[in-house]
Amino acid sequence: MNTAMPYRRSLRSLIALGVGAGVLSGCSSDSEPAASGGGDCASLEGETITIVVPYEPGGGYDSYTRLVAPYLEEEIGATIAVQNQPGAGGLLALNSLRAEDADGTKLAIMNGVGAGGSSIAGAEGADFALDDFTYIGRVASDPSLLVTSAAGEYQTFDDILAADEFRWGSTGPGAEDYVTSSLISAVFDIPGEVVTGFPGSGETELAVVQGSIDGMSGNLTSRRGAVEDGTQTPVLVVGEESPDWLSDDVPTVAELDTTEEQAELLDAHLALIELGRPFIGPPGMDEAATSCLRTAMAAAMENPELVQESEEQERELAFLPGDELEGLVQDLMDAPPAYSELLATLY
Amino acid sequence: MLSEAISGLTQVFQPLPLALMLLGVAIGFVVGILPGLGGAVTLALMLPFTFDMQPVEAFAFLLGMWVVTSTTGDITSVLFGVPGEATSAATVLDGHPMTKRGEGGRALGAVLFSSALGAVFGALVLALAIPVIRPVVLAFAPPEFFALTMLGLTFVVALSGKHLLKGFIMAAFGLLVALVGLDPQEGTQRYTFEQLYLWDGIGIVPLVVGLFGGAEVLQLMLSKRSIARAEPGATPEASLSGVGQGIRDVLHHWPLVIRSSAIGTGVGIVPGLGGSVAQFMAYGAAQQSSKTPEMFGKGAVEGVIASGAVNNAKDSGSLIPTIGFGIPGGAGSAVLLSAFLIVGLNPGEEMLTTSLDVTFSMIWVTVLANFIAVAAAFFVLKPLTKLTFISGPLLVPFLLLLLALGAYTASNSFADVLVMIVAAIVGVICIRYDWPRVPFLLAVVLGALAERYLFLSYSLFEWDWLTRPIVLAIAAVMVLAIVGPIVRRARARSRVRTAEQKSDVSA
Repeated sequence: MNTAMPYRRSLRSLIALGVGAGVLSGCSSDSEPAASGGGDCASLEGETITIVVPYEPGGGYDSYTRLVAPYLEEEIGATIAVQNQPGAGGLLALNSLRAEDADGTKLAIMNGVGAGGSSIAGAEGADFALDDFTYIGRVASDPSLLVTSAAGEYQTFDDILAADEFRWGSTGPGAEDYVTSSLISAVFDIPGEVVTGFPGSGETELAVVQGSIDGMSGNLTSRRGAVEDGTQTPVLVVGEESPDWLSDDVPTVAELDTTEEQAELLDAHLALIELGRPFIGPPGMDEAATSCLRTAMAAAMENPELVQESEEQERELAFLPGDELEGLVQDLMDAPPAYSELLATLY
Repeated sequence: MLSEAISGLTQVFQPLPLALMLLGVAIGFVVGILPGLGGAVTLALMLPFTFDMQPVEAFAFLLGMWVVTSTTGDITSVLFGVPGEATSAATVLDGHPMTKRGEGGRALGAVLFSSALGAVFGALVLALAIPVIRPVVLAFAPPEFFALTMLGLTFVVALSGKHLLKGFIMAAFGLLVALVGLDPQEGTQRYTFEQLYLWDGIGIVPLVVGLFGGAEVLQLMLSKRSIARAEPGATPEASLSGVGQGIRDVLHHWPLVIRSSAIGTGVGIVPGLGGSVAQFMAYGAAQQSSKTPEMFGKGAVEGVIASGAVNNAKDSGSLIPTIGFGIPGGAGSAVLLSAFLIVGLNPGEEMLTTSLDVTFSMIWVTVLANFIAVAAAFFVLKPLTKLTFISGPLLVPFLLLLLALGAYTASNSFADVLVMIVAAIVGVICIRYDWPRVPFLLAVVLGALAERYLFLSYSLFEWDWLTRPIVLAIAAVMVLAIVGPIVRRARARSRVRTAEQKSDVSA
């Protein structure tokens, strides 16, 4: 930390800050609409598009949305306002998105496992079906990582399978950590329980490190620090791919030996995880606006500056176009009834 | 460690980090004064601007902003009775009555100066904690958190004033309100009346803003006078001349400053408890130890000093688990955690070894930013104090706007504004019929936490948790906190009685 500071670079950020503060204080800075893809964006150019984040500011969904928004803004030639509307574990904002004008000016970022899973499970509070929404594109995929305490007796997934009683920690029913750990326990018949009631993943992690619970499931990227710090042991990637920073010894779900029945359930759940964190619009969104937003997002997600920025922040991007997301949603709607029955017990 | 401490300081004193810190302080200053828009939310909004920054620059900017919000939040509390932050509600209780008496300057001098001292204390604890940070954090688990929430609840006794029964009734009412929402274990709905809004329970920010701020503004509307009573001699100039007096008050009550700061730092460490609880624990402790507890709530400068010191000490406390393990102690430090990742630092071991200088630069920033903010605040006290001499009907529309915005910005929900209005009505009724509001608020915040941690403790350890050493220690403190005042009161009564007997004899 004693290297000479790159002043020019930092100065630029200082200036950016000043401008940003100006925007915050209400001076609207009219940005020149950039050349937009196709001619479909005519209806959105110069408009204000609101992207609703169904959670408090500062979390992963919020950070991803604020990360991508400026690049999307540039592509469309519209102003993008990011708005936090927390409530009911993210369901509140999605329920209200259903009734919004479908002209492309109101979007949201969705939590695939949390909100999407609630809908499949037919949970109370989720007044939408997954195929109601218009899918713009996926910002990030949302694989989970199962971790155990580095000082504990379970250091591999096989250890967990052999356990007499394995205790998971989680915030509560309907949350990703609860759903994933319960589902893995159910599919692989792991005896034990899921201890609920932790106020957040931070406190759950603390309990893992303290050894009062045996393990937990959590967002893969968020675990990186603790894994590299050596306080948590990674045991299973619940997702399609394993990232570079993780040792090859840590298996993904697909690499496990499973019966056909188990594979069916896991595949369905992987599809839900693959849904990840998409931008979505209200049902039946205006066709021109949909095609504009999809094209613009595809271009924005390839912007090298965005790619670099996301790498610096350790927020991995995983774009998937809207039409492919629709395919995933269709797969989920067609998933075996055993899957939705299992989910129904977890939300 | 000393060389890292010095290196941290020199890094903060580079032109760019210093400029960024000043900018952060300026933003935090304004955000703190405005009710509702809290430090955590502002931090989140400012995160994207740190993408290009070096670690020390980013933390100078973010921390500079964050630690200042709770300092300037007290200004609004004192002058208008509207808590500028959810963590500045305790300042309203005595700071605002002082303003009404025309002693706004003294109250502000006291609260700002004790804030600055609280920040120094918190920073000192953080610095001293560095060698033991990881074992300390590991020693606290749900049973300890539960014991701390119960300790917080014992302050209901102290905070009820003369009417213990009324205090208990209000606390019970608060516990009922805390039940609203999804239960923390099973996600079962309680008193949600099919409203998704109620799933997350009643929001603390709109509740605090309404219960304290809304109630004051409603009263101001009805009284049709200016906030500072038009007593002869109560002029802006006279009020301001008290600033020096306020500073002397702080120096005079230095043990109180240290105790309140210690409470702030301690509570700050605990994830989930946070500033909205710490302020009332410090306030309750101040009242318990005061020689004139009956003055609390009517403009006791000790109450103001305690609530000032606690606020700024708690920020450093909540940084302890964040730096040690990457586990945030509160909403603000949760956002700061994202900042660690943005600038490429891994909270945990690294912050205590290779990046120790960055950790120290953070400690320096919390101290420097507070001193700058307090110094700046003294310059704007004059125009701000004058506002309290404006007639009520002119000031009220502006304050109403602040209240509505304050409630709304917490989660962009109109239901929050409704909660704020209902809380304001409850607040006015409480003031009118002399029912204490603080036990109610304390129970709302602590009730939900106590339930969560009690069940979690049982799930994790069954009943074994009752014998954990820290739990037992906290239980002992609780007993002292309850028995102490009773003994003191009984002794005072018997002293009065013997004095009476003596005077009877001599008569």
